[in-house]
Amino acid sequence: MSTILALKDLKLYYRTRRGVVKAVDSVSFDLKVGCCLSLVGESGCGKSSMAYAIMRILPRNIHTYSGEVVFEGKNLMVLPEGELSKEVWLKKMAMVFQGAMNSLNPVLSVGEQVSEVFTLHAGMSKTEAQEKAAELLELVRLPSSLINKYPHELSGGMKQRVVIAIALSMRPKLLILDEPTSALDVITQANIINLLKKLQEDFHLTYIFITHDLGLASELSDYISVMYAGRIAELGDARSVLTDPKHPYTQKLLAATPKLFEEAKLEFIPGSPPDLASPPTGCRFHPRCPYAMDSCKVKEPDLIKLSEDRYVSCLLLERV
Amino acid sequence: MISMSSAPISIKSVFHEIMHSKSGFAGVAILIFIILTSLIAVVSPENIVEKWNDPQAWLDKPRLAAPEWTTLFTGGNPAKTIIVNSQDFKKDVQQIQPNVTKIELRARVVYDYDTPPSELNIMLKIAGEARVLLTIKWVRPDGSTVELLREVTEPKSKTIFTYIDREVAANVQAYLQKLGVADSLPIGVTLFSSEKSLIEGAPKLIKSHDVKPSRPYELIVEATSESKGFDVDAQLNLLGVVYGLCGTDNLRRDIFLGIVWGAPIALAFGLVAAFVVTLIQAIFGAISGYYGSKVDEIIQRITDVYLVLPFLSLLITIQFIYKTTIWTLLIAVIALSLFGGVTKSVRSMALQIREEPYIEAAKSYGASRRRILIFYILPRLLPYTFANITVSVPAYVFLEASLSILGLGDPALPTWGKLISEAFSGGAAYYGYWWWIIIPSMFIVLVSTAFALIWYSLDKVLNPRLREE
Repeated sequence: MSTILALKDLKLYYRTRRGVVKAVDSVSFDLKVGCCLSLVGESGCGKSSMAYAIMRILPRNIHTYSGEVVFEGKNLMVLPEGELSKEVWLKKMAMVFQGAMNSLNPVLSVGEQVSEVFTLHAGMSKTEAQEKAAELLELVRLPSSLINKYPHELSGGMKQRVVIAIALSMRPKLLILDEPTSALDVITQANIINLLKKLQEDFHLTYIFITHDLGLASELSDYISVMYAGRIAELGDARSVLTDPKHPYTQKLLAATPKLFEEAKLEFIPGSPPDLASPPTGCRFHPRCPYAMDSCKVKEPDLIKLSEDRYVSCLLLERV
Repeated sequence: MISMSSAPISIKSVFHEIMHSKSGFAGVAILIFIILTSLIAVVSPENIVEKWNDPQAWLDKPRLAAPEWTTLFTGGNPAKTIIVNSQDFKKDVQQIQPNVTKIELRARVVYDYDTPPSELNIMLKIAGEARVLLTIKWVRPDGSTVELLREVTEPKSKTIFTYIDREVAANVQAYLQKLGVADSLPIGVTLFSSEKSLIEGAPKLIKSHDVKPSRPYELIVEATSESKGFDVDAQLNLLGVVYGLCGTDNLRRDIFLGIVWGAPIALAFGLVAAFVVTLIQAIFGAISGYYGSKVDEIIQRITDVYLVLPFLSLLITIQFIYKTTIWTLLIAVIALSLFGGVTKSVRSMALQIREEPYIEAAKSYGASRRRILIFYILPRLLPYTFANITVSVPAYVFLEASLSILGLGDPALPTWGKLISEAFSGGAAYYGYWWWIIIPSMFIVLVSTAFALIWYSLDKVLNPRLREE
């Protein structure tokens, strides 16, 4: 399988009043065509920032944006902005935003918003675009009668489907899903996940799925990348990361996941996620790590390859 | 499920909401009344604007007459205006000698008011080549006659204002002396009192129906001349002490016509100024808030400068130097308000809206900045902008009035502000010509009230917290 997306030493730092926030710090990985990679981690660990860095949709207060984002052989970081918005966004890669329920323009009807993409990007006439929009809505299993409705008349799940429909309108190859189901109830969540699975099969899509829900991640993904404080803690195929976690953070994270019918007390990780404006020295997890050694406070661990497709960033394993 | 609370978006539903609140309905009703008033001016074929500043055009109206409906409160039956046109005169042409012609004109006026008219004016049109012997007589219902004029005059048009004419005054004085009345009485009282009451020293107005059978007052004009092509036409104006719906001013102009012709001007000035100024300011605010950084800084600093500009003083200077029309004034007003309070508040709203997820999403779909500004941000700002337009309409109507009162209004057009300004310079407040001040002021207040009421109900629509359940 060929590589669709390769990140090399990707850095995204924000300038804030408290100082420079290192939201994404030296992240590298390769993503193969047709796979689903989940980015999991606590809130504020840089998952969403990573999505923005890949898409190159950047906020105003950028401090550093460096490294390489190679998508289908092209480095997006040096691409002219016009080409990025005309050729890449939506046509090659698209993003479903966090809180997709608010990702729709409240003053345009669903039909107008969906067909807008066709008139703008494909140069279709209004009636053609409307037909296309209706088709697209059926694709995400929505009645085409929704075309004349306004976003506030739709349920959360419906809005989510509309947003996915817009993201798929130009048949992109890579879809970045930023917590697409976080405000939905479990039944709707399951529906959306099944829809996403079906779409992935039908269109041979590659997903980057950002979530804090390990259950959902295991359902959809081939690979899981656990992020901590702007860095990758552990990366590997979904099954082995979830069943045999190597990084202490992954172990703790899994232990903190609620399970049905289990009496055991939920564990939690003492302390709080580090302040990314002034992260701890050495391994960023060491203040909360039960196995922390003296060297952890000084030395930054590299991402070490354990086996094919299995990487961990921990000094404990480096020693072995 | 999270659902966004959302105000009704379509114009139809906003209008529906306005009409269903009491204040909104009242506001719309007043506004329709004013629009209908201005429609009279728009569809009327008469050109009041040109007539307004021509003193000759208003001779058939009384000076400073109160509105007719005031009699409902004061009681009595004060004089109303009676005009006898030349074709209503009975004309009698006699050939006295081979080359001498005598023309007799008689006008009969049934007069049943409680007061003498405020003026009795005779307009004569004499055609011919030689001089004319002119005699004018006034016959009361009791049969007594007063000779107003006997003179030799050039053949020309002239108006005899009997109450102030020196010849007439002398003749009437002579008449009173002949009756043995020592006091000098006003001419109006003399002409409209019975001879008997004059002799008794207690002048009492005589009405046509006081005598049996009833008899009208009569004006007789006799003209004799040798001239070829000799002809006389006359018009009799008995001007009342009350007139029309809104009374008249000191130049005999009908204030009602001033109000009617001022209405479209006030509405047009207020609406255009409010609409254009608010919209421009809102667009600058949206650009400032959405684009941010340098654009924001530049627009905000320009706004700061505009906010400290002495608006009224600058307008006064412009108007003082150039004496412009109201429409040039409108352009000056707009030019001086390109940036302002709305820019500031819309900017702060745009700052908030631009951070909403759907803007980010639009960006990722490849929407251009201009497209996002026009289709994603501006529509969200429109409700606020429209509410703002409704509040600022009265402000601009007031502005026009204020400038007029300062003597800086349009020199030609009759506007409400100009009516008040002329009332002010005519001493209306001092002499108690209240209709001259109150009626135009009332209309200005009415326009403000209408828009304030509409805004009040709009606010309820746009501000869901205020909505009545």
